[in-house]
Amino acid sequence: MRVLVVDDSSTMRRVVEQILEVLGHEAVPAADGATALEALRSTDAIELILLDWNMPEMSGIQFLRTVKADPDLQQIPVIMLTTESERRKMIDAIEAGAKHYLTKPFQPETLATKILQCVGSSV
Amino acid sequence: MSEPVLSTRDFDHLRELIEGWCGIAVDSSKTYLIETRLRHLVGETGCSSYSEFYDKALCASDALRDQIIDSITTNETSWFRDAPVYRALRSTLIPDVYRRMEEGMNERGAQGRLRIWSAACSTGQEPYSIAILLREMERSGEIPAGAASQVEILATDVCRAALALAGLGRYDPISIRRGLSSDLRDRYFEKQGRVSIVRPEIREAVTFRRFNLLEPLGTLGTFDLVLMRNVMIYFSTGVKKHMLARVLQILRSEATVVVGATESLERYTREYEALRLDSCTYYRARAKEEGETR
Repeated sequence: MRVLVVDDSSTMRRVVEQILEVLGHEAVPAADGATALEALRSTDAIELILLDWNMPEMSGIQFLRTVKADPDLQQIPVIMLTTESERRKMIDAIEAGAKHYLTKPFQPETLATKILQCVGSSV
Repeated sequence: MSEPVLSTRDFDHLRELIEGWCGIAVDSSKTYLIETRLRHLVGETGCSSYSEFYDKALCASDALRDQIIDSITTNETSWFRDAPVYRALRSTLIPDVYRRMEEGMNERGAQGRLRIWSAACSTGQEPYSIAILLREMERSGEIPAGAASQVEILATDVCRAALALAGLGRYDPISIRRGLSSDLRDRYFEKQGRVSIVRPEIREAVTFRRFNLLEPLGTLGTFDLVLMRNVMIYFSTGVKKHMLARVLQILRSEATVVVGATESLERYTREYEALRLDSCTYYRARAKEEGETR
């Protein structure tokens, strides 16, 4: 199963890729919103998006709103990952259509269980 | 359609419902937990408000109830978490069980099998750590040869997603390092790319089962060792008392109960006796005085 990982930190992308590997999923990495949108429109069968909040150019919440406004993409579940722990931002993300919200640092198992809840495992 | 807003009344209703289902008490300062973790379910179930969602949840199917519980539970764990507990198990508590078995003092006699319950196993590190500990004890002759493969480790959790992950026995490079030495990683895990997979002899030593701690415990059987670490912190005082009384019924003779390092049972019950081994506190059923009833 393909999962889009949108984060401007290469370290975080690697960490998330490792967690996806545990579940047998394939990561499609993207360092910014524009690359991620391109990947969504050109890559078949992306079934989940893991999305950072703080990114250059297009923020995570802007990206999320763009995805949720697109009839072809809006069904893909999104898990937000961010260093922002304020309650307001969590609610903004959920209101904008995110399925789950995790604040960094998170335990890998916590993200893995959220992914399992959204799309199960491929192993 | 406008986004649903969680009123104080809806929050109170939902938290009561969740506590009734699985005992987890959501503090009133944590409205955001309900608001953020259940929001997607409100939408997915076609509800336009938390109040409507509550009505639906009241007669929820098992699947929806599980989804709600999964969304609320947290999964924090690491290998050999709280080292004094594992030192005490290795030095004294587990050898004592085997000594009693050998001496025939135990009600099961020499043919008995050690049974261990990991009551909230989350993503599997606790029961697998116990299975690894037993293998290590067997390797070094601290327990009889072949004993480790005879032990029954039952690992339960209320969260299906955490259990599913535990059952896979697959860990990423960060998770596998938290609390696990490279020796033990090499001995008890196989590498597949960046993923570490629990070896079959460890995986097979553990039976995972979804279990809600509010359910009757009798179906689980009886145990020599019960690990209820960092479980009770999520429960209200009433649920804690009720649970501890029920756990008492499934303890074998001289069975040991271990709770989290920051938890203690004395505040909730006098039926357990606190014992100490170095810096590990553990509990046993208090012996009844003459004429006293439980």
